[in-house]
Amino acid sequence: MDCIKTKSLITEYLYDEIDKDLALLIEEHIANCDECRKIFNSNKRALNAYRSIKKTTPAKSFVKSALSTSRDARQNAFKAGKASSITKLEPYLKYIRHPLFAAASVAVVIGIVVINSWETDEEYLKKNQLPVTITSNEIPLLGEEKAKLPPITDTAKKAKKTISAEVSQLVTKAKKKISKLESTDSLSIPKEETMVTTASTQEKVLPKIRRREQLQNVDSIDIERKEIPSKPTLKSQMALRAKAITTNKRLLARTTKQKEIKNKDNKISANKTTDSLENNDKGLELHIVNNLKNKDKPQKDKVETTKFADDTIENVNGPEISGFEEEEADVVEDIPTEPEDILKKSFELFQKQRYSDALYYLDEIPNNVGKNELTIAVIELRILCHNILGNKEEVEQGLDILTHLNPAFGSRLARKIKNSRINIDGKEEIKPIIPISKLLQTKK
Amino acid sequence: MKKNKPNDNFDASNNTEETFSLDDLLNKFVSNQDEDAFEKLFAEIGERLFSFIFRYIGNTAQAEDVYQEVCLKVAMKANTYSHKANVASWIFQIARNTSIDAIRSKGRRPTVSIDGNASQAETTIIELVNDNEINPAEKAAQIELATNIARAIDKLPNEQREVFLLREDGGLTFEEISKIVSCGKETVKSRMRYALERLRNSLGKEAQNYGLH
Repeated sequence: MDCIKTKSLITEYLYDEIDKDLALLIEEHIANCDECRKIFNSNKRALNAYRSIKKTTPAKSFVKSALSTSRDARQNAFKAGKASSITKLEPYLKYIRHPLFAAASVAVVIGIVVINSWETDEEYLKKNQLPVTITSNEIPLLGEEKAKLPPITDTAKKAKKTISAEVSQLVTKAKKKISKLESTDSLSIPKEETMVTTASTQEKVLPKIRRREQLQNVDSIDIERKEIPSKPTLKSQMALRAKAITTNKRLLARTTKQKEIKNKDNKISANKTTDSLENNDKGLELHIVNNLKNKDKPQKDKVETTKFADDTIENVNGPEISGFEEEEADVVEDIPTEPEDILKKSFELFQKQRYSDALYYLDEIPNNVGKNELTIAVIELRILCHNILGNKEEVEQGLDILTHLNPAFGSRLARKIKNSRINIDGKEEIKPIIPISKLLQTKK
Repeated sequence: MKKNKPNDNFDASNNTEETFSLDDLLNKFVSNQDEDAFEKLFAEIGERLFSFIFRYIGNTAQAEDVYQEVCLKVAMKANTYSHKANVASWIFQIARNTSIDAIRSKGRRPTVSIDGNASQAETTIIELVNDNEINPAEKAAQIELATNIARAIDKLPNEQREVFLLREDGGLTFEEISKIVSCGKETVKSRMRYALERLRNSLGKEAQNYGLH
């Protein structure tokens, strides 16, 4: 055995933790090697010195107190049942103290709470006690929904009755308002359209109300019922009025054309033509129309030449024209022959906010008046009337003509129309740029 | 399991009282709630245990606290003893862990100051020296030796000190120590060798009188 191995095994040899064979070999080496023997002896001396000093012992009183306290603690633990239970559960406590266990337990608790608070549809309906139900005759329901619905209660029936009564009241109110509007205007609004709109809204709204009755309680239905649009908006009224005006105009134009044709036929057949009628067809036509519409009123200042025409028309198409007369008696008045007078009349109507009537008069002014201020004023007034009535196409056409005639004025008017605000009643009334009254005075 | 009385503790006056191993005493304490067995257990191991704690911590008051805590832990956790290790090994493991906790919490305050000046705690060691049957000159030499030994142990690194103390005070084998300190047996042996070398160098010539038989 060499010195290195001996030095590494000296400690084990000192404590007798080595095989006997190795111990013999070490003893042999120590006996022959001075260096290893010196190390061994010094180690042994150090250990003997340590062992020679008295071991530090605790005081007897302290030992007694320590043991008694530990014994008492143990007894208390046993009394409380902690020691035994803790010791029995000790192997499992590490799993219980694991954070995953805590997370899993929390998840289980949440799951139990959710499952317990879960309600079926039947339970929900019973809990909320929905008073309003609707039979399958009124609203198409699926088989399952029908089966789940509770039977109709008296309160539900009452609520339904009240709702239907209130809806009908609202509809009647709306009808009355529409009829009032019709009566105030000279032109009649087509009744069928308004009726259709109210009926359609009713048809649309009622199923919704019934559905809400099914799903919500009566109070919420009351709130919803108030939100039903009972009357048409002013904008829609204006649109309807515009439509009505255009239709009336078409009718009027058609009838005048018919009259013209019939007049011509009568003239040819009776050979009673006059020079005035031949030379000025348009003036005659206008006179005829005016006389027809004011036949009940005696007009002394009328030209005698018109008598013939009146008789003729009365004889030929009396009932047809009389019917038309009754309808349009308020609208059509005497149409002047001079463009200035027509402009004046139409401007008066414009100021009275009778825009369609003003347009009617303006249409009578021929287009070939000339590129003067009068023409521009006519076109401007026509554009303004169309703008208020909402005829966009005609406004654009008028503006095109105006810009062609006078670009600066056309662009100015276009800007003015563009910047005009929309009022509650519809389009804003724009005053004409050209002072028509002054213009007419100077013309005179 | 009964064990024969060791020869060194044998009472020649026909005393037939049976002695028990540490395992038996602990089993008796756990199964029969025998408090006497508990006291006997600590009577057997208490001196070594306190010496280990005292040398490991280096302070008497702190060592007493740790000792009491170890007693309490042994009493309370006796049921969890798994019989895989020696009872002494188990109790010393508790003592070592509790001492480490105490040092971590309060710090290590050695009984003997490193600069060599006799502190108040140094007198505790001096008092421990057996002074009944020795003359004053020898007594003075022993006191000096005890002081030097205490200082030398305080100077040891923790790893070497704990291995040395577990081997010397605890009387545990290198195998048991390796399990307690959680390292290999060869590491324990090398730590012990270095500890002895340091102790030998510290003591110097003083150890010559106590070394060789």
